[in-house]
Amino acid sequence: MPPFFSTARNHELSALDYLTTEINVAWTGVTLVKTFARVYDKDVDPPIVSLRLDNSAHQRREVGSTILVDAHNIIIDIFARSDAQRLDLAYFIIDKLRLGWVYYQFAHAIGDNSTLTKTVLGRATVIGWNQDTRLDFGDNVDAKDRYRHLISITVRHV
Amino acid sequence: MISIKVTTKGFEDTLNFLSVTLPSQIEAAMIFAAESAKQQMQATIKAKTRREGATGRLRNSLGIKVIKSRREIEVGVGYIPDLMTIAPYWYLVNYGGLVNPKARRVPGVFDLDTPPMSEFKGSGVGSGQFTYVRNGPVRFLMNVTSPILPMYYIEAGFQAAVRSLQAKAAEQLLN
Repeated sequence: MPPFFSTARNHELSALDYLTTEINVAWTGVTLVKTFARVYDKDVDPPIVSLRLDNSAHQRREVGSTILVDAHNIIIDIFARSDAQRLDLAYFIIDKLRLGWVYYQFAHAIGDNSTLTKTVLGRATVIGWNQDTRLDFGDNVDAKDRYRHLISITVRHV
Repeated sequence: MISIKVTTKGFEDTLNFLSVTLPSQIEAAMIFAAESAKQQMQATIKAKTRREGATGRLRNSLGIKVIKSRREIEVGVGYIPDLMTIAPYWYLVNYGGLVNPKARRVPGVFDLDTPPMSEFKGSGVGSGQFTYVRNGPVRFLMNVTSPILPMYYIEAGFQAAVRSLQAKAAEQLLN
């Protein structure tokens, strides 16, 4: 039996897969990464979009039930080249996220994690728009921190 | 930092207008939500602190403030003027990023007088807590080259506040 990924990992990878596809169609030169530290690597230049799942909240589906209904918080950091690009990229991402995306079950073969397989398991939808804001670190900042934007959403799959 | 505000509507702003008193349950629910947010923020900061020797200044500076006016009541967590004095790095620690390039070489000392070993550069591993020392006979120059990873404690507090308000609303419906 192939090792399946957890719900949280599936949400993160599904969102990343969807945004990577959409951004690559409409934009050029945008790098998508999954870890925050990777943004500051020397070989990665803005514009950069970092997407990762931060935390999850669990609630019982109903009183007495042992089935949990999960909500996952996804953080999207935008590192742009200019303020105009920051606004445009943020608006583009919000416009794509509002439509929802395919939720996949990811897995890899035992002993080989270089190739991921994905199976459609439903649809992910945004149930909460938490933040869509500019981050201002002032004037004397690193080039990558100069035009930053934060989008935070809560998602669930059906 | 996090603000929960309730505004009344439908009242005209006249000279004879008296201040509105919201039902005490609403104010109590807002303060309870702010308390939940504050505890979640403190727990997140503590859980995501990577090195020993944290002073606790940021955690302890998160207070709750209630502001009432004629038509509004606002409950806030984290008063920014206080934070800018006590823990001015609160913004960078929450959202992550690189230290200001002009301030990247920081003079100071590590307790035990030992800097992190060079082979662990960038990993945050090392002995002792670093203390900023502007002038002194024994100082190292800590060169901050790695990004500060974001804690998103404000985000965590916001969600805790939302969950708390939802739970209170559900409780009222059942009653």
